[in-house]
Amino acid sequence: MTRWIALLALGVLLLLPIGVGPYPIRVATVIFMWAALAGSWNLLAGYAGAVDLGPVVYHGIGAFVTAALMLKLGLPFLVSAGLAGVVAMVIAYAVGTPTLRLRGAYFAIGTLALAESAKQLALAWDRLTRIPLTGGSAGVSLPLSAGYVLFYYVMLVLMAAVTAAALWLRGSKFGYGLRAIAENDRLAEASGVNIHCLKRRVYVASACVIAVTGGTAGYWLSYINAADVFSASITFQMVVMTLLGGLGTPFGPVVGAAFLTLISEFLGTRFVYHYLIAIGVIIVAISLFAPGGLTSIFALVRRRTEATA
Amino acid sequence: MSLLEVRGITKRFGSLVALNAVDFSLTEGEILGIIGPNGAGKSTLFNLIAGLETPTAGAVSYRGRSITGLNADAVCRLGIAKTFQIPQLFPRLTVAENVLVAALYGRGRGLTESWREAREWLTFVGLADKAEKPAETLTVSERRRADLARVLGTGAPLILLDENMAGLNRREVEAAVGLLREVRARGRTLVVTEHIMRAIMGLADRVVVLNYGEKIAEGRPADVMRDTTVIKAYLGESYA
Amino acid sequence: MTFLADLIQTLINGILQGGVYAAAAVGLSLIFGVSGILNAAHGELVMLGAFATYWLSTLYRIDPLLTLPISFGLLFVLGYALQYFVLNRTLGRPLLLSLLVTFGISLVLLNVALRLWSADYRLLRIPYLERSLVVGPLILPLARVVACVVGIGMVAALSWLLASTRLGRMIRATAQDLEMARMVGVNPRTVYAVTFGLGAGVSGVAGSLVALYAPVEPNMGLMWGGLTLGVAQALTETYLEAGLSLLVAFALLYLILRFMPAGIMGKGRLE
Repeated sequence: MTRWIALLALGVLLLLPIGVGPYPIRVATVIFMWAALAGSWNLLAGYAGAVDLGPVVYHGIGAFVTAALMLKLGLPFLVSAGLAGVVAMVIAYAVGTPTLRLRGAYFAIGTLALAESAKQLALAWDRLTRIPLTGGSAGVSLPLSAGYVLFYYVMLVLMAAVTAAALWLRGSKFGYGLRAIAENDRLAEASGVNIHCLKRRVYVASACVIAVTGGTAGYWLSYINAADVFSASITFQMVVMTLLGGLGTPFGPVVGAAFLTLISEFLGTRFVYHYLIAIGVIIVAISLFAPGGLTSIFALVRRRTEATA
Repeated sequence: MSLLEVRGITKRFGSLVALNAVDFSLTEGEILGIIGPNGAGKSTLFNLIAGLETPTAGAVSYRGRSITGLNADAVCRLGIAKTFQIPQLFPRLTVAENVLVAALYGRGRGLTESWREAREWLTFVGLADKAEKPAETLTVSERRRADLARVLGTGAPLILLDENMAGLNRREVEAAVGLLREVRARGRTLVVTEHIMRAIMGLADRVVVLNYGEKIAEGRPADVMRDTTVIKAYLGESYA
Repeated sequence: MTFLADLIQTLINGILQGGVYAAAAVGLSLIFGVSGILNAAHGELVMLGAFATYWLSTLYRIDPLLTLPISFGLLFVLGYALQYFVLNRTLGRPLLLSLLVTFGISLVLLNVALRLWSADYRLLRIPYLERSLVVGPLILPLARVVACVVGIGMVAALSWLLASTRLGRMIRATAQDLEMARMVGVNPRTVYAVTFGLGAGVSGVAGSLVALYAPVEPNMGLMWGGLTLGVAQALTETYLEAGLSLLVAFALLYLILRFMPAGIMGKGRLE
């Protein structure tokens, strides 16, 4: 049932650019971008229980590798973004192997430190290696030559891929392995689950999606800067959107991304500080009164209506 | 050839010696009891065999292959699975899903096959009616049986049961002993640690007695019970 | 020779900075160690402490050093109230939830501060701290020395409080075994509130100490966002290559995490 609704929604979204103008398409693209990022984070945190506070590392890597491939090698955008995803996967494999052995809060703090180190390294990269890549604090500019509809479709595909992966995890062998790890990692290990291998697969896959999203976002903005693309606030937004929408649910990140993006779109421009104060209050309220996230409210309403019907 | 060989296995935690050069071996189809007072090193021994801890010295081999230092998941897939002294669960998965995970990963079967096996083992341990309940809602005695079902679900031929009857009343113990005999009849080899002497005497073919991390006796249950060293270890000097 | 002196000078600046970072880090880790809350509003507490000192000394002409206890008191009350009325409601829920709640709180605090005080940089003028101690070729700015000494003093005072007072024992008992603490009559809700109050108070004083030698602005909290960020930042201050020293910092932190078996106070699991 859910799958059919999701497919129907996807169909509508595929045709949307035919019917509407640039502004709603732009807003939708922003939502898809955040849904793809938050959804990637959700795969590891929501399903395998590993709270990664450094996913932005792959966002930054994706942005700079995409830019470098386009500027230095003159590769087309889609090829560059795809290759950036591959580079991110290789790095994620190397970084994830030791890091994923950290447990619980240590993994969270370790990945936070990793992200901060990566940002500093990116800022110092050109000076240290004498290989121009990140442009230091000045950043890198990209020539913009694509229409906004391209970004809409790329982000849509990324969001759809992540959501489909989450849906697939619900009833698959791999998904049960991850949930076992999240629930009790020692018992999972004693039951034959290779916990490091499973977690690493999710980590590497989500790094790929995050990197392609980062590369796409960088090209879309046509300017990237290490301080921005490695910013901890991107990580926080991914976390907040997922938790608001519903951690460990396939559509939670989409709902959370849409909710926060739309609020900021409608209120943000008019009441800058008041709007952020209001968002803070809303986040606190939802966490206290609907700790399962917004999707848990939908699920509750649906159960109520089914019970009365 | 023996199924399991434990040679000179030793575990130190800092200056504390939890196990000191313990040897024993196991033949297929046997039920071996491991007894000893609290802190004798029974759980540590199991954790070392199952790969949950690494021995300081010594070696473990299974079907002639060294498994010393392997990770717990690899040991499990090779064919050794253990229950936990405090029964462990995946609390928010259903009882059936708890066993399903073991069948999927321990045994390496596909989804359909694993679901069928999970339900079979739940029926076997008498938890079929709880299959769809979240595991965290089970009582202590149900948790022990769920843990047993999970271990059986891994398909491991060698099963280590760490005080699987602790906290059960007399009737539940009898039921559990019957269940374990049935497990053996289905071709599994069992190593059982237990505090409840009566249960282990009626169940084990052979017992190994540990005290302060050392093996102090080994033999048929009735013989071992007459051994003065064992009586001393259990009841103190005055009874010897 | 001058290069060496420069290097030593910057190392000393880094070490002096370290005293303040230690105070802020202790505020964060106390809360995490006792209640398992990863406090995303930590940086904002530091920022509020800095503003407390700034406004108290500019508006009411209170000596900046005398504002430190007031800053502690204000932040203690704020922290106590936040835990008691808001964060205690997340007890027994997945700990990630407390991260979300504190993130919401940080948004509110930051933007209220921006609304009230704008994003301007404000620098305190404290003539008697603007001198420097000269030891041979080295120059020790007095404000930084004072900040460092007070920061380390705070850390020492907090360790003493935890180790040797009745309150400290209650806090440690709650951190180690919640059920046992309950059984001997400790009310964990109150202990958590006092702990958050103490953590907030110490973080606030760390902010006040920063205000003695550096400009104050609402966004300064972002930089203070976490213990690790603080460590990273402290190391960038030295003359060593920034990227390189950060990799070292990360490696160090990583090793500590890998091999510190039970964490700062024995709680290391996040559900």
